[in-house]
Formats: sequence, structure tokens, C-alpha cells
Amino acid sequence: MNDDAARQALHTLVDEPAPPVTTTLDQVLRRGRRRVLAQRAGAVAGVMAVVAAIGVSAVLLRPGDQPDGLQVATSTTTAPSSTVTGPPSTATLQPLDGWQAMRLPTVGCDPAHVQLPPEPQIAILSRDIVEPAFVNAISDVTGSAPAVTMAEWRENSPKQVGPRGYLATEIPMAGGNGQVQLEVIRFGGTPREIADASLATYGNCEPPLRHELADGTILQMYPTNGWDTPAPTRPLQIYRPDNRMYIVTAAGYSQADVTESGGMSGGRGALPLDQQELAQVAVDLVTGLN
Amino acid sequence: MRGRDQEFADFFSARFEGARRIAYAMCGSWPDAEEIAQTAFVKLYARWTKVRIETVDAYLRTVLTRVFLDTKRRGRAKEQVVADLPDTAAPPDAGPAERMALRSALLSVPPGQRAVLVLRFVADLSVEQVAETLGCSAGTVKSQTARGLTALRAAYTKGDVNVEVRGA
Repeated sequence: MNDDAARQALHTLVDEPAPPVTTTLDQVLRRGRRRVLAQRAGAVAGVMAVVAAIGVSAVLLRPGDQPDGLQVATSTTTAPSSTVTGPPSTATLQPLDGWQAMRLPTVGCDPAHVQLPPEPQIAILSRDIVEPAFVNAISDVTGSAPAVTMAEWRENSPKQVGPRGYLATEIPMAGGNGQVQLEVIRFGGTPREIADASLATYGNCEPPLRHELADGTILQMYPTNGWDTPAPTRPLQIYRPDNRMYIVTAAGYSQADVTESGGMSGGRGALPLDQQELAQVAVDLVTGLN
Repeated sequence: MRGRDQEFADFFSARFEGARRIAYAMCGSWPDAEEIAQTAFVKLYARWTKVRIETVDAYLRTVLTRVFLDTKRRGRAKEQVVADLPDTAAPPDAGPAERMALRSALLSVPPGQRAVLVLRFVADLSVEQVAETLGCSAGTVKSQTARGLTALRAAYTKGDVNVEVRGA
């Protein structure tokens, strides 16, 4: 049996009549959300275990307080603070001036299943318009122009029924590059309707922050997907009155960290933009698109 | 439902059936294939925001194959039904005798080699793509393909049916 014969023969197996699919999207989403929450809980438990271990060690090894017979070497050298502080936590959103902390109206962190009007059959703005506005917005915040490493505009994307634009830029950070990504899609309903329906869209149990602009644009910043600490991401969704949505994501990894199979070989362990910077990029992007 | 979930829903609708058929080619059982495909999509969901559009199909294949191999390694000791079984499965003898013999022969091939054969000849992946999917070298894929074909041929001819008559 050569390769051609094997290919022909094995192909017949997938052409067999198949029973109907019984797996529903709801089943997968329910299990998926449970998995996400379990991953987050595991990460939190790990951090707590480390903190507890440090605390116990500090108590047990405190000079002059050891039990009889236990000799502890003491030193006059102060340990460097970096060994105990570590990187700042990125798992929780901090309050931001002018941004409103939202509340999740749902139970169990499930996204609200709100029936929104259908998406209007409008085109997304062209790459010629969006890319300069995005690059300028990042430049204004970081002080230097980012490198655009990926750009894709499709009429019909497999990730989105309808048109979708995508840009990835890279900016330097400690240990390598991080990314600021932009996704351009469209939505049905008003900015407020889509914003309310998207409060828990990333499966987090933490509510997002919201900011409204004078022209009716709503910006919603989400907590960091921080359970995967080497490559955290923080998205910010922008809902515009013209029914176009922009998702700006700060990502703690670069293209070089993405394997061909879509996995992640590493990351910076931090985000390339803090909350204030990400918010400013989003506001500047909206200004640039006007 | 927008953003992450909407994107994932669209991808699920477009790809689940194909993934289930690949899983079926690997495991030879529709209920098991359904479970493997469902588990693969659950794992994909947990990584959805980090998977790039350009690599999402490749990532799904990788996860699907690993779920299949993990299932075989565990010997299904922790088997757990996560999907309702179909009311009416396809009759086991729906295909011609030759196809039945081929399926039986394929199931007698060791799981690792079987996964390579399915990815190479059912999913139509290149040697390099299979190597990336399985996380091994191209040389390993070639050797596993050769051994798998040998095992498949041996099991197939033992069933008194010669696949060579299919025109190759």
C-alpha cells in the first residue's frame, strides 16, 4: 500500500454516513467556562500557597524568636526588595478616573444571553483609515511608533460572520516585545445594548470598567486574562454609534512567542500598557477615526 | 453574546463536524469521536483569546490529536459521558465490506501511528504540519507513517482484502 492508495482508502472512512451531532454550543460553552474558572482558581491557589509559604517562613525564621535548640543564621544584609515584591498583579482592574466600575447582572459569571438586533450590513472602515489612527494612538502614548507585524482585512472571516479587520503591533518591553492588537468588527443594537450584553463576555467573574464619550461611543475595559501568567492579555472594547466595534488588546507576548500550532512558547509575564495607557490608546483611536 | 463567545460560536458551527470526523477516523467510534471533539473544543475555548486566526485550525488539530492520544493512554479508565448519545447511530455495516475491513485494520494500528496516518492521509496534512501538530520531528513522522502503513497493510491483508485493488 503506497501513500496514494492509503490516502484514497482512508478517505473513505470520513465519507461514511455519520449519526447526527449531539454536542451543542451551550454544552461546550458551559464546560469551557468551568475550565477557565478552574484555571483561574488554580492560579490563585498557587499564588496563595507561595504567599503562605513566605509568611510561614518569615515567622519561623524571625531572629530571636526561634524555639530552643534551633539555630538560625542572622545577617545584617538586607534582602533586595525585588525578591519579595515580584511583578505587580494584573489580575484585577484598578479604579480609573472617569471610568465607571460596572456590576455583573448575571449569576455564575455566565455572559448575559441578550438577543440583540442583527448586525447592519455595513462595511468596516478600511485598513487605510484604521491603521494610521491605531499606530498614531499608540505612538502618542508610548512615545515611539510601534511596528505593525500583522494586518488582515477579510470580507468574511472564519472567526466572525461578516467582515473583520485585524492589526497586531509590537512594542518593546522588558525581556522582549509585547503586542497591542486591534480587531475591527460590527455589531447590532446600540452601543449601550451591546456594552450591557458584553459585561461578562470574556468569561471573567470580574466586572469591567466603562467610559462614555460625548459622541455616544462606549469604551469597556476588561480584567486581565491573568491565569496564564507568561502571556497575559487585557482587552478593551469600543462600541461606536455607527455600529462598528473595535477591540484593543494589550498582550504580554510577541509574534515570536507564538508557535505554528497556535500555542504559546513564552511571554513577558506582564502587559505592555498599563490601564491608563490602554485607555488613552482607545480614546486616541476614536479621535483618530473621527 | 458578543466578542469571545460570538467568535467561538461561529468557529464551532463551522468546524465541529469536521473535527468529529477526524476524531472518528482516529478512534473508530462515533460516541467517542463526539466526546473527543467536544473536549477539544472546550480546551480551545479556554485558550480562545490567545489563539491567532491564522493558526486556529492548526491549534484545534493539535488539541484534538492530544485528546485522542490522552484518552488512549488513560485506557479510558476515567471515561465520562459528556454528550448525549445519538438516538440512532449509523448502522455498523452501512459501508461496503472493504471499508469495514479497512476501518478494522486501522483500529489495529497503534494509536500514535494511527494518529499520524489519519493526519497525513485523512486530514491531508504535510509531513511538516503533522510534525508540528504532534510536537515531533519530520523524521519521526516519516518513520511512524512507514510503520503505520506496514501495520495497516498487515492487518488489512489478514482480512483477505487487498487495498491495492483500489487503483493505486
